Amino acid sequence: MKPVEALLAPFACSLILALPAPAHADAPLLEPEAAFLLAARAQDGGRIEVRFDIAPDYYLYRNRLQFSVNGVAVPPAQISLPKGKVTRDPTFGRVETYHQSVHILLAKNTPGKAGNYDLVVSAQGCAAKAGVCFPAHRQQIRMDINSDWTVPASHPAPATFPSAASRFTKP
Amino acid sequence: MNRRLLVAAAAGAAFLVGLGILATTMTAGDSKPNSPVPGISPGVVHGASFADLQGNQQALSKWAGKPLLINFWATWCSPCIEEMPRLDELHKKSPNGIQVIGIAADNQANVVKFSNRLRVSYPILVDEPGAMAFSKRLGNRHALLPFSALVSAQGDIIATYVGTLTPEKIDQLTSISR
Repeated sequence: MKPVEALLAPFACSLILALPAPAHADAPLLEPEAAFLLAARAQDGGRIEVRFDIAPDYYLYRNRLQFSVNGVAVPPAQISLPKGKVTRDPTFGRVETYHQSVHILLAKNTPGKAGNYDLVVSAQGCAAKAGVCFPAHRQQIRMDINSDWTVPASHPAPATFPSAASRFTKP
Repeated sequence: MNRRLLVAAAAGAAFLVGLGILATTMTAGDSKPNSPVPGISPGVVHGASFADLQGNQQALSKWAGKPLLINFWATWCSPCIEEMPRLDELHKKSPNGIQVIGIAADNQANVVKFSNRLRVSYPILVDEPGAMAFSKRLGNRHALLPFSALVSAQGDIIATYVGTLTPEKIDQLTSISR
């Protein structure tokens, strides 16, 4: 090996070793509240409609959704969950997930006090391309009966996904 | 002479670019070679204990003296399950004496039921409320899963990774532990 090549060899090695991970693995992540945009509205008779707008490449687990209204857990029989995308995994078995958006109805006899509703939604989902999942995250919405779509008070952006500035990256 | 200068400049540029890429990769934060998590004393890892699948408390100190790859997971987390065969392979090969330990952020019943299908040879420990808090102490700032921490034989955290461990990342981690 010529002296110059010998000089270059370690630098070439350093470049190979320092190759960055695939782009998707290092992509910035949305915060769960932004990846799974929540909105709800209450109708006559205590019927509550819940909506998630789900960011591309993110998904929610159908069987990990939980709801409470005015401090009372809504029983599964009173939750109308639409069918999701079904996948069958040799380890997991049957898994049902929501992508893009989902509308959920809570039954008419959902308890309410003088037409005011304090809805708490717990959800769990993942970022598919990044290969990470979020722990259960809870969001709260306070709304009046016959209200228009209401979002959590701490909602990052009611109608659109947040700007890059409000995203976070992997630690 | 000019050619030599050009070659030397190219070599210098290659070195700087290499350093730059390395710095970018590291500051992206998914793997932090040789950068112990600030404020974490070696006693934190070896002082912790978690229940095994039989409900018996297992102190992590029983594996003191070996480099540990602590992997946080949950039964509902698809990416966590996806990487487990690779972690099992790592555990069986045990390069540099690495011991893999899985800590489930899930409830005992779920994990016991699930473990029959998992067929991994490394120890699985469980702590639904405590596992995520512990992972945060090890550097999992946003409490994401899966999360893995490479711990030295002395109990220092020498690298962390959020997300599914690919074979390439496992190779990277094992090379760090040397």
